[in-house]
Amino acid sequence: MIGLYVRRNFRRRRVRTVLMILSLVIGVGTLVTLNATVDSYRRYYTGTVASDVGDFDLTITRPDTAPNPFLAIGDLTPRLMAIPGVMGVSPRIQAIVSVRAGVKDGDTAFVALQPDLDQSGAVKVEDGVYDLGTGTTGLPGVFVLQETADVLDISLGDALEIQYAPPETRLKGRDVPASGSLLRTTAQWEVRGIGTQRGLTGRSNNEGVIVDLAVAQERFHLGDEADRLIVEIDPKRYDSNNPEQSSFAARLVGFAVRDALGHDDFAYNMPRPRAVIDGANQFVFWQSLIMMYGLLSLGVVGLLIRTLIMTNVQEQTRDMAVMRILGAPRRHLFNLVAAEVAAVGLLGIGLGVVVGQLVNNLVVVPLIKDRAAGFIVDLPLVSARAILISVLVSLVVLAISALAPAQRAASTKITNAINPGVADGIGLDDLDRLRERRTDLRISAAGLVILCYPLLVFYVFPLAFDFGILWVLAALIFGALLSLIVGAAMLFFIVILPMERGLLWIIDRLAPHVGYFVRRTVLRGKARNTLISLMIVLSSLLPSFLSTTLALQVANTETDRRLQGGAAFRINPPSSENSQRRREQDDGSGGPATSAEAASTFKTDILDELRGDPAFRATLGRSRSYRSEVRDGVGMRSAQANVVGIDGDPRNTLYGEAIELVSGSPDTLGRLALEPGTAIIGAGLATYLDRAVGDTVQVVGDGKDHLEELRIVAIAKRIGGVGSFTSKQTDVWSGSTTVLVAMDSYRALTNNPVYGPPDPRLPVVGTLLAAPAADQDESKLTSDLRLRYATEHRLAINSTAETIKTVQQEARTGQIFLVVLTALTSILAIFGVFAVIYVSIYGRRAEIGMLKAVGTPGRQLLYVFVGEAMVMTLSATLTGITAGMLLAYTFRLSEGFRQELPTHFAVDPVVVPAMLVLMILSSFFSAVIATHSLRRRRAIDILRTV
Amino acid sequence: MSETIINVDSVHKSYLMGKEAVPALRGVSLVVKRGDMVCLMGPSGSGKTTLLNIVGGLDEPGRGHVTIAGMDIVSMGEERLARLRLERIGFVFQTFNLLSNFTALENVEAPMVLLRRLGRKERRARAQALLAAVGLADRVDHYPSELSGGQQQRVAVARALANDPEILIGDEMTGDLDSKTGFEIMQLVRDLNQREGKTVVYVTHDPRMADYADYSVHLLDGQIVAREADPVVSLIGD
Ligand SMILES: Nc1ncnc2c1ncn2[C@@H]1O[C@H](COP(=O)(O)OP(=O)(O)OP(=O)(O)O)[C@@H](O)[C@H]1O
Ligand SMILES: [Mg+2]
Repeated sequence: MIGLYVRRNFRRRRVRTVLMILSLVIGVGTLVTLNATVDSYRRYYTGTVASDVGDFDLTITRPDTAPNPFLAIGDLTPRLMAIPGVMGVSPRIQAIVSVRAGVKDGDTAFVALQPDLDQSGAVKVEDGVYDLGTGTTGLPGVFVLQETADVLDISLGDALEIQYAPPETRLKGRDVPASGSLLRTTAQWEVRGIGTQRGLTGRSNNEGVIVDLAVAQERFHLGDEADRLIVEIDPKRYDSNNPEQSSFAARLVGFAVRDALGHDDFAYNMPRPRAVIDGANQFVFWQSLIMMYGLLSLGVVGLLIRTLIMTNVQEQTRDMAVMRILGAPRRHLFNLVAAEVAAVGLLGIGLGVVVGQLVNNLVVVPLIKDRAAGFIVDLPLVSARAILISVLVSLVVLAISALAPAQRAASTKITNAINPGVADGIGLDDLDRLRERRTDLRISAAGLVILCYPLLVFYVFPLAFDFGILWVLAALIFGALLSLIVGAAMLFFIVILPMERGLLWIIDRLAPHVGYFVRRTVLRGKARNTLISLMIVLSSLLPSFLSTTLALQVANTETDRRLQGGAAFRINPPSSENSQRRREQDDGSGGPATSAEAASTFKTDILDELRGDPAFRATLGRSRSYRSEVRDGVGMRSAQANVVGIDGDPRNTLYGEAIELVSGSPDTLGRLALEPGTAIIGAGLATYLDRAVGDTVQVVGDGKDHLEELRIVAIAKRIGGVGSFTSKQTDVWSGSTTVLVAMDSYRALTNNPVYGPPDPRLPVVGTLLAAPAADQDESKLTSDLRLRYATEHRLAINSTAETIKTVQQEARTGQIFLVVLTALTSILAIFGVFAVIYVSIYGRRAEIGMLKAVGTPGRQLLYVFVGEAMVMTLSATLTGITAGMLLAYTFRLSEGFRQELPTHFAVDPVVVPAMLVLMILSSFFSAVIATHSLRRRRAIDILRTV
Repeated sequence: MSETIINVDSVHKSYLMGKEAVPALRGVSLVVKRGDMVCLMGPSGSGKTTLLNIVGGLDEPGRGHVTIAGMDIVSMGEERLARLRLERIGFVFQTFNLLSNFTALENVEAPMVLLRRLGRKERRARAQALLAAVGLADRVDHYPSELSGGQQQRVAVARALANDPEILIGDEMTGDLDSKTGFEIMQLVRDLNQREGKTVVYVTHDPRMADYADYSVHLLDGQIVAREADPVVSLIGD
């Protein structure tokens, strides 16, 4: 009996059944794909993060206080392999070496590895081959990384001379003795290949040379030794989706290794697990986003199925009432509907899993691989977890969406059969309940309330950060994002009506005879489905918001970074923290550990070398910030401020737009460094103290009773790269405003007068800002500078152009994922559109039959329904797009206001137009397909079946 | 006065039920003159609706010839037939089939919009006049759900007259109404027939409703079995 009912329903309501199954297929497919995308993206993400620090699970080196810097491979490898969880051990020698190719020479990173064993990272060959063996010429092969090849003009076939010195050792608590008495050995290699690397050298750049370990050992007269062992941990051990868990699981293996080898003679480092755990914070946002998309898709599918099943039930009310008269129990009617849903579900979910896998394997994975720029990222093709989660979630959604119709069926009243008038109406009551005739202001009000959540989050957020619980943070971000989107969608729901009117106005202009009909159905709105409209608004709001945000980011990064960075290059000496970090990353490669104080300023000789570099047009030295207090001198007002000294004219080095004075002559900028006792202060501070150019302020200096009187020579709104000079009082209250002085004033302030006058030779330059000479290519100069200064002197070289490029690159990567996500949800939205239009048209068969009988031409009928569909979906889409864009602009503008940055306006050139086109096409085709059979059938045939 | 407006000539019509052809009309011939008011009667399943649909240009005969206002509808395409209905035929059905989102006035206006002959103002004026003619001058802005069954059927009659058709077709117009309201509707149609000379062909089961016709045609098993002039009509006279 039940089987018969289901079969009949399938056969008689083919379109609806197909619709339900298809929407399930697409919904489940989307879920599977999204889940798999989460997996893939996480792997890709940690992959990229890890590649910057080296794709190493665990490295074992000797501390530089050990008497012997080398490790005995033959002894350690078997011991390590015996530890559970250890999958492989690859010995390496890594160092900074001098290389000579023809006439050019320089320092670069050196990696000697066993090519058949070492699985860490990847190389991409640009030129030649990756072959480290001995070739025909008798010289062994070397693979040169691109930047080194560029700087040293190396090409294929060149002979490369590498000079290697074993790592220096030192006594505990002592510096390395400053001597050149090291044993240097030189050997020759032949350049076999040139290319790029990821995660192989443990550096984010492409400097260095790669050779075979055995060859290196032989040529440099070393035994079977290495200066590091890279331990590969069984990936199953930390294949959890919780990055924290993964990293800790990996660390357990690290602990086991340490217990086996001891910690006196070895230093351990786990770059990849550390990158995974560090990167997790940033991944939280993406994860929330993907969850958000998944939820959206589910909502649409659930709603669709509910609507369609409800239509089925509605239509059979009379049949069901007859069954009740015949004595069928309520449970039976409930089961009828449940069985139908189950059959649909079985088919849809099964197919959906297949489709999802196909989309993942054929679209998403290749796309991510493409983003990985040819580096093979280990991406799973079949994700059992993704399938399981998706199937479970879909089952829940299916059950929920079937509940209401099944209950409705179960509660069928006998009067439905006795009084046909009840069941005769063309209106589907249930849909009517979903529909509204007027815009519901309550929805907007609810949106406003929901929007309060993000505000709340701004207060709860810091708390979550304090607790440091990742999942709480993730839940909060997700909640914030969800309520932001849902809230905005609901708030903007009031815009739908004006949007509709606008679209109707257009149709009226284009085709008044179509407009006449469309206007009345749309505006008097029984055909409008509030929930589905809201869904469409939502699914267009999210991509519009994100893509506009990204577009704004791309458009504004350059100005933002130039205004904030101030100059093309910012060079910093190694800070204590910095050198520590770098040591962890490529430890054992030598280099003295410097004390914190000396590290925070430039050594004079390096500074002189940098300033004399012809690659720079101009340089500006600035001191570190000195935390102080500025007073008006009469004890009325005072503020915390950072005092910064400069030693030149900022106008020479800084970008023109990065300097903005409110009052005072621009010449004062040039004179400031030469005139101790003067100061340039921020506009906010000037307002706060109510002091103008020519007035004096007192600044508290080091030591007791130390006050310096400074004359204000200019008031600035912005001097990028030097300090914060905004016109906002809040910056004064928070003590982040800057007082700019001459270097001598800075020396005087930071010197305690009790110990005598300040030492004019004391190195105080903490940051060197530099502008490149006119003929310099900035990116080439960056890598050149890094090669010359970063490796040897451990200077941090910051290039504004590079930062801009990186940020924009990241935004573009984000855009790609956004396109994937949007495409996936759009397919669902299209289904939503189709279902709404189908149900709406189906519900009005009698009217359509009537219109046909009266003599409406088929084309006119089509135009009317296409018009209706377009107005209904486009108004919602446009509302969503507008809301999303406004939201994105609100964020950017408030951010710009906060940081006093101008905003370049931008719209997304891909996602938003694509969404519009998709919606127009889908509503058009939905109307065409949904009315197809009605348009073909004759009036009497339609009217008979109503 | 005696010009032929509808000519049905030995029409056969069968429906396919599975593999079997069920004959609905078996050689029906009928001539309706302009200004006639004709009633089709007969037991259920005798083929009244089928014949009416053919006469109204909603359906084509399987065999035989049908001309409406001198035009052969058998050879006409679907779109031309639609045009013919729009211009020359008005329909009133058992279920009123009004557009639910349209007011009474707009329902009457709709066929005029479709025909695109009148401007906005003229349309409204005409719709108003038609509604006034069916006695609904004070209900123009009501939605169908706000009207009684009889009122809805009046709107349907007004709508059928929108494009000033020559022929009015009604299938059990009064079937869903109580007899008093039914009489009112029939009287309305009869007045239109008398005053404006509209040709009316309608189907009814109710012999009292048949009294309004000039003559009745009786069908049985798809064939015309009798044709009788109505006594009421003869009393009223020509
Ligand atoms: N679409 C159809 N498919 C199959 N058979 C049909 C169809 N429409 C009508 N018939 C058959 O044609 C015959 C005549 O039907 P028709 O609707 O003309 O009868 P009717 O005289 O109007 O009856 P009623 O007074 O009950 O409305 C009937 O036997 C019916 O079964
Ligand atoms: Mg009938």
